[in-house]
Amino acid sequence: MLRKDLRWFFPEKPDEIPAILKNEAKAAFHAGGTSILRTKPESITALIDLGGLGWNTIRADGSAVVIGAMATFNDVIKSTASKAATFRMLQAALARAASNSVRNRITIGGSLADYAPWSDLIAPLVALEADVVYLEDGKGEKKVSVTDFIGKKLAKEKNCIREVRIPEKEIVFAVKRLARTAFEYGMFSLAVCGKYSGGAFESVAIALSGTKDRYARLAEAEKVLTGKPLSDALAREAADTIKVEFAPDVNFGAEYKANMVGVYLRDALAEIAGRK
Amino acid sequence: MADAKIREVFTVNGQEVTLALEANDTLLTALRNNGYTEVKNGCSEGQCGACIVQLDGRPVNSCQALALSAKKKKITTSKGIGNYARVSVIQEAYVEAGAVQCGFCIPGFIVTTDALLRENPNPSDEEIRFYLSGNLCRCTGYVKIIDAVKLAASRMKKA
Repeated sequence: MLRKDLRWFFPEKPDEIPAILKNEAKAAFHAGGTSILRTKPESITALIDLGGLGWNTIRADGSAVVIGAMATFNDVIKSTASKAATFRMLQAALARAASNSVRNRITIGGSLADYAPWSDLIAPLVALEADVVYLEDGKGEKKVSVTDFIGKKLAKEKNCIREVRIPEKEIVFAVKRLARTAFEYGMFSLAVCGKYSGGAFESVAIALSGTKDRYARLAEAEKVLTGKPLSDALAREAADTIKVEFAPDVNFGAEYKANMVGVYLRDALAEIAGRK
Repeated sequence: MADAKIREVFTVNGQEVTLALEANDTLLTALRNNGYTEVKNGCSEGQCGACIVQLDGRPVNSCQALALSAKKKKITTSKGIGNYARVSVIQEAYVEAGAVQCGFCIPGFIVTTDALLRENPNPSDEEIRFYLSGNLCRCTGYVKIIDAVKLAASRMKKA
């Protein structure tokens, strides 16, 4: 349960953050608040609300779409900042997350920092090879790949995500999620994208989130699919290479979820090939 | 909430009001404890939409927002959209379409519908379903709710 004596801070400039972090026993960053309200950690003594920093903008800088950490999922979905297919893929993935009203609270930075297994953000960011810009200990700005950000556990309490950068590229894509109903938390999310011409992938990236290891790049399947005419048989061959582990939950067994990744990959590939 | 420690000014339904609250209160708790009981406490998990209010015109689940994070925003509850003295077109449409049965979820639907029709005055059935995806009703089966939204939209266009 969150403490009643929580102290709140509302910085208006990033350079106000280090002093707050220094003076507070255990401060946490507050973006949309949905993660904090789920976990309600009693150890937190202070919340630093990032709403006053103007980090909710979305812009294209010529090579990438730059999404501020405080942009909500609906900000991204409704944004016209870029027409690049990479950005449209992210929009398509986030449009399936939760409900309209919750999408008005979940932020890009909060979802990435919390890194919940059902997040609809992680798989597309990994497949799109996004970068994360963060303030280390609230100070120096650093840029790392999203896989490094996750793999090196950089979402530490004193690191503050400032923006996510999506390369602007023309690709084909499909996004899928397993859930009991559209509204439910996803059990996993699958993102497939790549360069596709003449009925074959020149390159392809397949990312999955929600696994025991939190996310996976399906490198074997990518290898099978690259440079060969995409057919149902090739899609099945790619799906047969998938070896991922899930934890069982109240709705689905681990084996069922693992099997469904192959089914959804074949669906995604059929969609890309225009057969669905 | 005489024992609440913090007094903070919020803008609720166009009025500046001082709410008594705790630093860890959700917006839902803070509003209800200060008399805004039209904001309903359903699931407390962001699933049902009974507690939806608008923050700066956007529908959000007030159970999923900490109250102090909303102090510089404009908060609108269903009574800010219409009340007994000034019934809104949307509220009239819900009644006329027979979209209200037990009524518990309806404040959330009214708030969301208002946001939808300001954003998209002429929504298709699919757009209505998509926008209202966070509002659950266990009585009506949604058909009459969608009829109500379309009725409100047509009346607002004429007005």
